[in-house]
Amino acid sequence: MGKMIEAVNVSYIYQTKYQKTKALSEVSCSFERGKVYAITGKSGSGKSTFLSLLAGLDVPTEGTLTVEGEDTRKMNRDAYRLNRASVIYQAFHLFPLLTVMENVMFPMELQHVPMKEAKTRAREYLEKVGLRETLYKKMPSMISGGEQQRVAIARAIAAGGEILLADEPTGNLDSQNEKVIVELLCKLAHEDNYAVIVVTHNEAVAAAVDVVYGMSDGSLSVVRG
Amino acid sequence: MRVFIRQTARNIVRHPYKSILHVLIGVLTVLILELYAGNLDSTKSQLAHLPEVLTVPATISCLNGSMRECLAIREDRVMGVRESEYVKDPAFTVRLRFGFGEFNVETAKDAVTYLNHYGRGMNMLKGISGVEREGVTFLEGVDESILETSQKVCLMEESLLEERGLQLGDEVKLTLYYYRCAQEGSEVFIEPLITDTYRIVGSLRLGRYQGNWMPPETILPLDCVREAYHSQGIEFFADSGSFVVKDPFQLNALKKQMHDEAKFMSVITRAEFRYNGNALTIMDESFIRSAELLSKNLALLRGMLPFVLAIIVFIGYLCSYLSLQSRREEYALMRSLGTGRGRSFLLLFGETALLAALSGFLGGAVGVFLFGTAARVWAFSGALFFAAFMAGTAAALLLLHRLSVMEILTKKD
Repeated sequence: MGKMIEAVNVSYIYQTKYQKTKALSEVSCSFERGKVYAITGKSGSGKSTFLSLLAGLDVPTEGTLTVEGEDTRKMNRDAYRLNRASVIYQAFHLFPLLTVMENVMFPMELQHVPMKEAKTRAREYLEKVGLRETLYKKMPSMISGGEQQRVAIARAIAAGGEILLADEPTGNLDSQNEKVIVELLCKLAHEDNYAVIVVTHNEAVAAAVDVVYGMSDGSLSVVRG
Repeated sequence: MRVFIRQTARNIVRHPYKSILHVLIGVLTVLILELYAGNLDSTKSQLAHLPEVLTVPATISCLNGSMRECLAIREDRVMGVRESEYVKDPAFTVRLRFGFGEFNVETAKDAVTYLNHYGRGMNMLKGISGVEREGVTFLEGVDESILETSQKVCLMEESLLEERGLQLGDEVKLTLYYYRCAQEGSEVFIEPLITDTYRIVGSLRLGRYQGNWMPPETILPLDCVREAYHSQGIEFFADSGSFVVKDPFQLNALKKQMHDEAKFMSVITRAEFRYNGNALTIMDESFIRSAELLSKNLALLRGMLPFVLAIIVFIGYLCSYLSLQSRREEYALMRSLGTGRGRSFLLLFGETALLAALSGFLGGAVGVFLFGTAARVWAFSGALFFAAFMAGTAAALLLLHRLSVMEILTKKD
């Protein structure tokens, strides 16, 4: 299978008025569809920075990051996040004033999907992540953490992209919910052909994925591949 | 666009307390702005309409200012005033003595027998006190403007008409005598002017006459009398003159013209009395005082405008900044889901714009109810509020754009 995302000598420097901090140092790696990747490492090792580059929220200071051959520097990164890559966060980050259903419909609204179709598709995604229909009209604050993370995953796949990025997706969950979410992410990669990249320092999560990269002081190395 | 409107409206409705607070702050700001704009408008309007409320009259007097009638006002001065572009309603009179028919006065007895009536040449009725438009009955098709012509016509006192058995429309032969001042202006002589036939075009009923001289029994058009002077080779002098300053905001230009061209002087109270009407008194004190006061107020209010605007910009900034602080995650999430910077800006800007527009409208409506605000003040305040408030909002939003999306969303709760 071809490389979906490829990083070649990617470096990233945080620059403030007074100092420069090298968060990533010549990172080279690639990601394919149909696989689940984990990037592990200590806090401050550069995992989240790398994830933000993969999400198109920023561009490398040096080196190139390409998605199916297209340099992220040159692409429309808003459209990339809207249509191809979605991010799931540890704190779920659902819109607090939208219902579960409306949260999942949000990316489709941005894509101008007609309301009726968006509703039907949102239902499908919510069913796919195993959420009961009784929760659809509830506000995020009224459902459990595990359920909120499943809504976040449903919202991520609702955009219809092929890349799922997750930043400590099980960090706020108990072990039972953690297992459900990891299984769900693996299922999305293996059955629906997503490229799933998970940033984690949870060993159980790392053990469940196909490829594990380790990050230390901004440098990336293969731990298990 | 529909999605944009739906999202904006939904956000407003789902942040009810914030939206209401936003609108309340907006309404209060608009009300304060309306008070300011109302003051500005009213001061401007008062200043613009000051000449209508406070007219500035001017009177010609002798040099020491003690007399305003029975003077000798040179013709060039009369014409200088009448032809000035800064003068409105110039009123001049010339006093006459007259008798009916043709006669010569050679003795004092002749004067008593024949020259026993008093008349005036006038170019408008308000030239002397006691003569009102209501007290004059004109012949059909004739009005006061006939006094501005040089036609050989006259208005005659009602009792004199009755005494003489005359009626409107009759023609009457009159012998006119005029008042001549000695060259040095200290003595007055009565001299023959002309004998001519005049058509009676109006009857005159005098009201409370307050002049220093005898009330007129007949009034002739000033220019008719002036022409009589000219036809007899006599130098014309008017005996009283007054006018209203056309545009009191051009007082200086008027004064300069009156001084340089008509050769009028200011009153010198210590000057020796002379009959010469060569001093001009312009009663402009109250106008100048009021205009200065209003101008100062206006300048003060206008000077406050940048500060008022800065305060509203700051209010807009503060309201939006505080409101956005609790929505940073929402903003970051929108960006993370692929909403572009421009669209995120427009979405939040649109929300505030809707609330600001609502505040402007409600503030205006409350202003109309409370202070009776005029529509233009409402529009001005509303527009000013909207522009300044949204400038503040834009600044707050631009600040939000500088935040790192990933930094906000990867905070581990």
